[in-house]
Amino acid sequence: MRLIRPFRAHNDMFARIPACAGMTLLAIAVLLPLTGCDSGAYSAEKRFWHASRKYDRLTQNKDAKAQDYQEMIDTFREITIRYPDWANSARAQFYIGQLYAIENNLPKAREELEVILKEYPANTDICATALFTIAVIYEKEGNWGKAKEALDKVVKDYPDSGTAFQVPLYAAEHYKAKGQTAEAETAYAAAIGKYKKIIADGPKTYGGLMAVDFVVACYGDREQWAEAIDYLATLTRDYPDSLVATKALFVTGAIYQDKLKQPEKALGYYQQIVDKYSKSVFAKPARQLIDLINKPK
Amino acid sequence: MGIKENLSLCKSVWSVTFKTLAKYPVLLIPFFVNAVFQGLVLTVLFYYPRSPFSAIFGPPVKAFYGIRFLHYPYNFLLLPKLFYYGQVLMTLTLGVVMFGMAMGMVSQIHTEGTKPRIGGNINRSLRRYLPLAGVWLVTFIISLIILRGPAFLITKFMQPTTFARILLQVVSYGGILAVFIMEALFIYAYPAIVVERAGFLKGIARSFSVSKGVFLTTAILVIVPRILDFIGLIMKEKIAGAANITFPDFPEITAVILAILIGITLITDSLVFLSTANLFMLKKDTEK
Repeated sequence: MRLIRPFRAHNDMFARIPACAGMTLLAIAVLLPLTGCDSGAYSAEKRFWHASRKYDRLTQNKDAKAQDYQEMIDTFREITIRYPDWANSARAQFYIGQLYAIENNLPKAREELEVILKEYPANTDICATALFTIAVIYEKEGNWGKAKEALDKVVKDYPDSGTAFQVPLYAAEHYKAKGQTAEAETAYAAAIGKYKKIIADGPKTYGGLMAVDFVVACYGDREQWAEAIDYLATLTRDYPDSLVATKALFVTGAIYQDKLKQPEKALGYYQQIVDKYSKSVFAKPARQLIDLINKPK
Repeated sequence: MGIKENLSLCKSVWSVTFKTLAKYPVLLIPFFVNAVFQGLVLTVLFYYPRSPFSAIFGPPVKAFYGIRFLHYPYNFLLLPKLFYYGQVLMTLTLGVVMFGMAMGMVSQIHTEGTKPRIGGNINRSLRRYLPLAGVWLVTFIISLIILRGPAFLITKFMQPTTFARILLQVVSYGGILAVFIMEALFIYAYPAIVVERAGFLKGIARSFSVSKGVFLTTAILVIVPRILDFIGLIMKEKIAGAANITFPDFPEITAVILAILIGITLITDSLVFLSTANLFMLKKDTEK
């Protein structure tokens, strides 16, 4: 009996384990979602992801009504109110500004974008984009003076942002669109000078790589393809070991193929990438373009 | 035994199993407990990017898979993989004890004809934990080799031709079938270890010897329920596609599918383990 009793007690204890464990686990499983179990960032991400998807659908919907835009604005507003310290709250605020801009409520759009500059100054990328968008809105309202002021502020306050890169070209394009030829020429010359300096200062940087596109765009806006090709050739020659050289070859090929309609010349440039820079990111698209050009029509 | 006899034996074993289950539904408790714990693992993993779980899962996820998997909705892309690891750990610790407990319960019904005790059989299974875990680990490693080995060799040494792609498909599906057959060979090690108190190697040897006599029957008893598992596996593989196409706004569908898989495993494991345990006990009776 002495031997049996403790064993029975032991058995009873084990008998309770599955029931107790099951109940405890179920309780935990139910309580986890109810207690929130989150510091907020994840919930913010979730709301923002769903809102962004709705935003994409809304902007593609031609039959969207004012009420749809207002609902979308409210959704993003809720994110900014609920999660003011979340890293992407500024982006939600930016969407609010954009939605007002799409609705053509430009003063309200500007007002909402200005909130980003005041409330999220540490988020420099989105601040630069917001300021640039404010400039675009001023331009749309016909106030180029204020627009230029905002553009200059982008360059001054956020010189390292991707948005600041766009400013010289944007200003030049504005003058061109307005038919102010002299101002446009000066602005294009200034823009090209600036972009070339960025490339020269950092041919192996991301900025340098981006600047190649802007230089070509400046030449392209004025159909100066020969000048663009000449400049790209200098890049291949001066920085043969950098990604800028590969990009220059690729863009030259693209100019010959798409703009000058000389695919046979383009082939040579693409082939150079495949031969000399086979491990570069441009090698794969270059091969695809070679195949496309060589494909019998 | 011919095919007809094997099928007839299968029918008898299933009949005995279902009748036993109807009389003693308590037999499902080990599998139910296993499913509840797996559900808990899934629940915890569902919340892994959130505090306080992010403190535990954050650093390894960031280091091994990248920071984006700590953010919505990318966490759901990683969820099946994390859940798989969780399942492996759970089966190795709690699962094998529950399987052993079920074996003990079936043995008790056959020998004593009484309602199986829960506590006593947990205790019985816990005492045999090491050989039980060893058998499960061996079958797990062999299944990994069967499922991944040929596919690895094909992708490593063959050119990406149509033939290689077809071969990869054949090897993948054939591998799953081979794993089920392998399971049929090892399945009697669990009752042998718990009921006959065999050691790790003796248990495996005993399993082989039992399977040899009733291999086709065992294979059918294992493969038929496992077809459900196979469907579940395909479902799991298609999760990404389903989530992107059918439910583009509901990445949580991944967790729903994994929860369904837990339910499927509950059914298939119960059927496989209980029917083979019954056959083992019937064979044991005839051996006397």
